[in-house]
Amino acid sequence: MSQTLRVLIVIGALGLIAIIFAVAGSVSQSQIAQVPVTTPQAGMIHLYVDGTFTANLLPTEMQKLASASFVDKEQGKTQSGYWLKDVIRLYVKETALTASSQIIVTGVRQGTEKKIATLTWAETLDPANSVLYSPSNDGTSVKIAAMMERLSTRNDWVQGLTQIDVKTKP
Amino acid sequence: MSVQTIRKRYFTTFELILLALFSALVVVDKIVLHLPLAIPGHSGVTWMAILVVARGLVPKTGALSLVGLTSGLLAAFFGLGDLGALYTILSYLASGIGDDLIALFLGDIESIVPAALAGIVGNVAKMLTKTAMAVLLQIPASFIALGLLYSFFTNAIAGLLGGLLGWLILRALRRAGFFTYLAEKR
Repeated sequence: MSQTLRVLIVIGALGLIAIIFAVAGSVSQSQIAQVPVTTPQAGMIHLYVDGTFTANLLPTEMQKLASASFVDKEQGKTQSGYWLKDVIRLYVKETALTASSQIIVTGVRQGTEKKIATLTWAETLDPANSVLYSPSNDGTSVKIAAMMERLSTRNDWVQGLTQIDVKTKP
Repeated sequence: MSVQTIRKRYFTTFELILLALFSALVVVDKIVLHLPLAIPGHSGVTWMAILVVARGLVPKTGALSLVGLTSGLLAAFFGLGDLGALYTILSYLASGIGDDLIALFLGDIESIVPAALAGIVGNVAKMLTKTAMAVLLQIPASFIALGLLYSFFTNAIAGLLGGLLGWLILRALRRAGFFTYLAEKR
């Protein structure tokens, strides 16, 4: 087999992967459009308020928000996404929240291991804390990153976000 | 009188040292070089260039898998990556295996088109592994599916640029007589 043919085979294989991804993306978008808003859907980030399921967080909803970013202290990289306070305000009326209301974010780390962080609404609102809802650059996951003391390193951040629980009256 | 046969090692010590240096370079690249681009896979521009140069200097199957594994282990120890050590090691290893396989299939990656393809395949292999790991870790998949095609294209373009950069570096090294120097060392 000549090298030209081999090169064409590789290009063809890459083209095939692109087509598969295009179809998968299109199917996924149509599925998201049909998602019932009243029940938690697999493969989406779930929001609970006082133990009651409230919403599946939709990427399309996030696009309505102003984008935000900060430069992390640990590696000096720019972390971008949306402020967590804005994401919560999309689904929860701010009048229902007090400074001591709890925001519990749950993620996945290394298989079945869960990673959880608890913040108060006051901490989430504080601009100095820069609590960010940050989709990864490659679109494979969302993490909660921040600049506040106990949530300022990669070890503290909650990667692979799966659920947000809001407790209005802790 | 017994005759002892000395088994020839697949990689020479000199080659292993070179591959170890390239592994370290991959990790240093990830830590130090921050391209101001919020584009998926953009780090592949420099990463794939390093892998293509490594393959040019140590043209043996398995060389890049070794670089991928070693750099993955180093990166895991340095705490790079968002989703844990296994995720980091596998994504680094995938690039090396992908480039090794493409080099094996194409015969060599020293000319411009195979080098560019090696860059693309290495970076896309990393992206595919990350995606598969995200699915296995049960990370919400809506973002995965929405971003896959975009992520594939940006990874492919970054890999392409990395492959071309690697090819340019190899050409410059060849012109500077570095390969003659290496042949003497071997």
